[in-house]
Amino acid sequence: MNKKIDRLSLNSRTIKQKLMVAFELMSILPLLVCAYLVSTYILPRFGLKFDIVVTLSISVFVALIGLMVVKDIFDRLSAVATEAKVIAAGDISRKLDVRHSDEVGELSNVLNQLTNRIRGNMEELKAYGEKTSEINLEIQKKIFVLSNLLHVSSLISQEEKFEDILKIAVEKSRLLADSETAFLLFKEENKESFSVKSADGSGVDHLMTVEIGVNEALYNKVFNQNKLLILDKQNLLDSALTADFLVKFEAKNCLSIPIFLRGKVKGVLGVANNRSNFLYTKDDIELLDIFSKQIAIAIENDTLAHRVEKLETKDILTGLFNQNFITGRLQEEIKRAIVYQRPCAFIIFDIDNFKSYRQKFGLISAEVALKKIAVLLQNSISEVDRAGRTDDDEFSLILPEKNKRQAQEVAEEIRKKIHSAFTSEQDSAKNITLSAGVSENPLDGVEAGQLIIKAKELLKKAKAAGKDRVVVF
Amino acid sequence: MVIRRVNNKQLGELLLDRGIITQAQLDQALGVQRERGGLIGEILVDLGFVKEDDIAQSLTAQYGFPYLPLGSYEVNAEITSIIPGRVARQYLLVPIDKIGNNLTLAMSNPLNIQAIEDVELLSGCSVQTFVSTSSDIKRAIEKYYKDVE
Repeated sequence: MNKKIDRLSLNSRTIKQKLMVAFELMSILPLLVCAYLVSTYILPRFGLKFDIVVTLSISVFVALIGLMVVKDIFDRLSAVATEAKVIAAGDISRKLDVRHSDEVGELSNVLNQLTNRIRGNMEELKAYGEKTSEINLEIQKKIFVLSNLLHVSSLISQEEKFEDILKIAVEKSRLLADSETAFLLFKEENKESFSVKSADGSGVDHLMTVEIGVNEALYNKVFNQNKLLILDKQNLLDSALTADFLVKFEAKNCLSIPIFLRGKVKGVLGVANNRSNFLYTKDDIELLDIFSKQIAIAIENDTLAHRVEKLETKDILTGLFNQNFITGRLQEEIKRAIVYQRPCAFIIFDIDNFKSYRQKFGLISAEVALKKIAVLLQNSISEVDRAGRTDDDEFSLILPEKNKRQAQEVAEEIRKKIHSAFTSEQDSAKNITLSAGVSENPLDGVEAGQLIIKAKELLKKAKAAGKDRVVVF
Repeated sequence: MVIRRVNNKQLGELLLDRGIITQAQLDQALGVQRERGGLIGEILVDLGFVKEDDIAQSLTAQYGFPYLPLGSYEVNAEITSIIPGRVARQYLLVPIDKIGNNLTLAMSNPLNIQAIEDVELLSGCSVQTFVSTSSDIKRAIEKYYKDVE
């Protein structure tokens, strides 16, 4: 029922249809009424008179003109409506034709103004969007740099190898400021010049050969006054220095930051490129500076680690002395022996086939064996003797006051002890034996190095002769 | 270290027993040795308590080592080459003769058994020792071993 009413209702009709209905109601019905009156009353009485025809025609004509006027208005209205629909659908580039100053014209005008404003707002929004994405890009870049920094710091805290840390720090620095190369100039102790210790990017091979004297003009201020060196379109050097730079680094622009540690410039971190009209930003300088600080920390760490290493005298696993100590001590004992006209002997023991032992029985069994050998060694020597673990599977003894014959006796005794202590009846693979070389001051030399070399030589002979033996000559 | 102490005592006591030095002189020399190090014989000579000849003669008298005044003795270069300069310098000894498998050494301290063992090991000879003064041996080493090791 409702549907039927809806179909009959004018509400759902377009304006044009409504107009037709209105026209029919306003013009056609009165005309039909007139035609009826004319045909019923006027024609039979007066006949077809010219003036009646004219009057009727004029009425029809006027009614048609009225229709045209109304239709024109409604056509324009519906055109505005159609345009408004298109604009609403998103095409804001449209512009309505405003030819009339009537309400429809005004409506079009208002619509135009609205679209204009919307267009303006849209453009503004777009600009904002672009700006936002630029900012996002910057943020992304910074996050990238920060994650690189984090990478370098984590390498430092994981105590990675010093050279590896420097390499990665330099690699990551190159990603800054559109750089084509990055380099680290470093001054080794007791050297009067800085040389490239690590480099990344194009022309690395050439860069690695670069060496700059401490007082050379090019880097004088960086090396001696802890100042930045910036080289770009705004910061120019005099022509001689620019040429010097171009030869050394094969680049036009450069940013170099000193690495300052304990009151001294220890190195310089630099990035360079060959772009024209290039300018380094404040951000570039700040970020590279952070990298240089990271490298300073790595250098400091390395220095401290070396210092600790030098101070250590014991092997952690066995508690025996380490190689450093043994070498130093041997030298001292030789000096004493020379003063007192005494001999001093030195023995190197090496475990036979220890690599395969470790592979077969694992790291823990190998360590247990090493510890046991260390105890046996320590128990076989006198108070003035010194025992050390001088390599993975190598032990050394310093025997002051003993000559070669006496040292040979000690070595033989230890060899036998180890042989019997590690003889397993169930599994012959578990047997451990030692080979040894015995050297002596003065017979084999007057320096620790000479005795060590000789003992190693004799040890090789012992191995070649079938292992599990002591060789003294 | 144990051996050295015995040796020091041996030479010091030997000289004391033979009345060449007094206990006070020996104590003083041992004091110097503790402070500066060095050999007791050389310290006693430096302090002027004994002469080198006294030491050599005491060793001869006590142990029967024959005394050899090296100054007037010529040694064949072939013989000195048996022992390298560094060994001669450290133990203060000079090879002077070799007959068959017997090597004769001049030593300032023939009680240094380890040195004799080393020479035997090195040369494959059995060694016979003569006593000479430290200065004579040093001069001989300078003369026969030009190489600096």
